[in-house]
Amino acid sequence: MTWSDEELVTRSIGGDAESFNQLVLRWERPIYALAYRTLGREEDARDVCQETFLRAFRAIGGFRGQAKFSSWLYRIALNLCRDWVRRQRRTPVVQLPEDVDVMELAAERGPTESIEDVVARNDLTRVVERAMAKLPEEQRTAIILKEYHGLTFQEIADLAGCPLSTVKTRLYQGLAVLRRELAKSEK
Amino acid sequence: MTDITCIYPDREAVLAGYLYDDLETAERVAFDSHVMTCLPCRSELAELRQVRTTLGKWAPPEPTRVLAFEPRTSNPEPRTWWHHVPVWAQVAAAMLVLGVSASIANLDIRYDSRGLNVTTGWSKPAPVTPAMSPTVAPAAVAETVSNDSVSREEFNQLRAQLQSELRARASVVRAASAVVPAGATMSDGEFERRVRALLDESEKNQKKELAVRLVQLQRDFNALLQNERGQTNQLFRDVTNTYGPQLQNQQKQINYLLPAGR
Repeated sequence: MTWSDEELVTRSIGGDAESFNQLVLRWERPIYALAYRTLGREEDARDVCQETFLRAFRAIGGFRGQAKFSSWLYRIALNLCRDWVRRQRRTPVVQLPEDVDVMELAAERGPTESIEDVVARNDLTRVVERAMAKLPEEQRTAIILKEYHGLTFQEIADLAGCPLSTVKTRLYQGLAVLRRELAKSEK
Repeated sequence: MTDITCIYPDREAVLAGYLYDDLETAERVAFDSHVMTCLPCRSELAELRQVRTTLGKWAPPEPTRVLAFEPRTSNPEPRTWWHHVPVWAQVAAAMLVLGVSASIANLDIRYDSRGLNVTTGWSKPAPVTPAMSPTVAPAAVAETVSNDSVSREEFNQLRAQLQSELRARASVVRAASAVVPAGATMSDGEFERRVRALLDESEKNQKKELAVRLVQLQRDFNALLQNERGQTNQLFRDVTNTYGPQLQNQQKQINYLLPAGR
């Protein structure tokens, strides 16, 4: 039987650790992806992801269900990412090394993906990460939450603590910067 | 890039909502109509959709390690100090304690063709006296016996000491008193027999306890060895998984280069 997030949360609050593990299994990938796209470093993303669930586990007794469990998790993860960026005092998105080992990439490719496809995908990743690094934090967060996590504008506004129209404007402006940066990289 | 000349109200926010299909119905219908007639908005929408397509190809890498999260339902038990000592040091310390204990108890542990033989100080044979020649005269024998034997006074002293020790051990005394009627005096022979019986019993218990401890020690040691072996195998598997693909790549490169060099 598949439990909803809310049911698993209730059971977790009741002391059922297995229910919390189910929540972790369900949400670890999205939280990891969010942290990776925000921070750009795999190890840091993994650490933030783990810390997110640890904090959630400690605080789940105080979760009253005013927001969705996923929104609550996203808030914890985003706060951790923000703290991490401030603590590290460095650009949040990683720059991939210039000298890419084609053979190494070939080992990563899927069964139907050619080496050329893998190289192209890697180039695109580098271009996108560079472009995302140009964005102010609030624009980047808005784009990540909307584009990759499918949150509604209202949910993003609740997470960011700002009006709905501000979120839409941030997203539009962020996309406009990305359009410009991506156009530059094509030249 | 599109030059924006459109003055649609709250254009940026509406455009973003339209792009992600996150507008109220009325708002969307109105903007639909506007886009049909507004070239800048139509162009910009197309460009932003292209940006979204590019963004959609940006996938985070698979984490190289599985996320490990095991919530603790309760506080872990406080670890005693010896849990921080390496296993090998714990084993060494255990062996040292065992050795010291054996020395104190004057133990003699031998493993020979007759198997494991454990002898405590109590059962150690007395120093070997030179074998008497059958030609030795009876008078000489008597003299030797007289020299080796303890005096009556020493014997009485030893008996008193042993009796006091026996009294201290209530259980032993109770056992003895159950056999000997109260007020009855014990003969020297009877007393010696009882002492020997007690000593034999004590020795048996010590042997049994030591054997149990030795077997336990051996089991613990085997378990440790098995555990270490398991960890080593796991490490080897991890290394193989980590570097296997790299080795394969190198092999591919070598295979690729070899024909060219020939």
